[in-house]
Amino acid sequence: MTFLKTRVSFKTGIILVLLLAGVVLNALSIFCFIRLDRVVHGDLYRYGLRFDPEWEIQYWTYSRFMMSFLAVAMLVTGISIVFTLIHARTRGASSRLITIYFLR
Amino acid sequence: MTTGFSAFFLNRLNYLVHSDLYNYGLRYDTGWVIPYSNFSYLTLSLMGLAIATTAVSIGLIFLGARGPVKIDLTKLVCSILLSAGVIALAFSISSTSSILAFIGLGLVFWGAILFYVRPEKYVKETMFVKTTLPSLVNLEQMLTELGYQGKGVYLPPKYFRDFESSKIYLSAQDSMKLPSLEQIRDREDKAFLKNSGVLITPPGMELLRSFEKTLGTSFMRVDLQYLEQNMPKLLIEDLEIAQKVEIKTENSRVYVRMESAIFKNFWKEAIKLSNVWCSLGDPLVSAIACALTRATGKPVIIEKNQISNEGQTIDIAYRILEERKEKTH
Repeated sequence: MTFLKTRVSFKTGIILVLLLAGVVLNALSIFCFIRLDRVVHGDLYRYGLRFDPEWEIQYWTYSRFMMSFLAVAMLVTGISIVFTLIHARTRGASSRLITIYFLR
Repeated sequence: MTTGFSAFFLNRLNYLVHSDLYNYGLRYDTGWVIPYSNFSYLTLSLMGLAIATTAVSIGLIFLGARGPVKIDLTKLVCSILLSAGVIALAFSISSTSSILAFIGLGLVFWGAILFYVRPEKYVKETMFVKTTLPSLVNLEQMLTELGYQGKGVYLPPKYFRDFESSKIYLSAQDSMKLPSLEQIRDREDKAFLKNSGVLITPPGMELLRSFEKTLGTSFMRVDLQYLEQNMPKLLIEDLEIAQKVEIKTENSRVYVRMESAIFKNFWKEAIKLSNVWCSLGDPLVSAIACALTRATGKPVIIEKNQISNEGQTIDIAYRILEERKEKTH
């Protein structure tokens, strides 16, 4: 496949590594948050916390928003990696603009 | 940006756990506080790192796309003020500090003011006419003395080795017949073609570059429809050189009607230079012809160039020429 044979410049290589690091860091954030969620939903009941929908709904909303945004961040960074690779191959301005658009 | 939103929601969660949950029987104990805080800080740090890597990637992509960076002091100050203001506002929300909020609002306000009130250099209209006209007068004298009969044909980029260049071909005879690609490419950096005509740099060449810079694209990458849609906004709102612009395409002809108070006096003087006026056009008319030839990839001529309404309105008819097919051996 010619796509895999594309030679990327040093700078593009750094960009790709950074973007990949971004995806990994976001994934690690999700992992850490799952552990934090376990502390709240497991350990806190042993320290007197009573279940009440009033705080639970608020907590659930914030945590779902947080997880969704992290997932979206991972997805768009992944798309940016693809377009950076396309740009490295075609040198087209549109792929560069799409990459920047997604990263923002 | 999305990771930033996640960090915001995690802060809200922390606030909920460390304040509201005590109302639901929760007791403070290092047994849960330490692991909770560890995971919370770890998650926030990872998000911060993710934001930093993304920001560096964007910076590298921008730097890779541009040539040597020229720093505009006003832009720099304006961006610093705006970003400092936004950061101060964000902190004011998370720490419920009214002082930070006022500082943030002030910074954003001055950043926005600086963004819109940027120093621009203006020249008086009379100076514009007096400095631009003499070069057209020289061109008129040259064309009259040479006695070239042909109509100026704006050549598309494919005729040149350097795609950024643009030239008008003026035939010695009264004919529309164009020389071959090779003939023009061989004499690209010269003015005269052997026994056939002359190649002239269009009067609107630099204005065309200004059009492309303002639109942020090359006309070689767009089509006629894009020009039709974007040219009026460019001339009226972005460059403020016309009050009204109408562009209409009919088959191979493009009709442009413009009203411009800036060019009014210039057009009144330039119309006296009949050869230049009819064949090449003034800088504005010429720049539009260049844009058309670059967008269509075909030669373009100015068929009609007429002013009315005491010089304030100009009607131009451009014709896109179909090229003859060259036989390949």
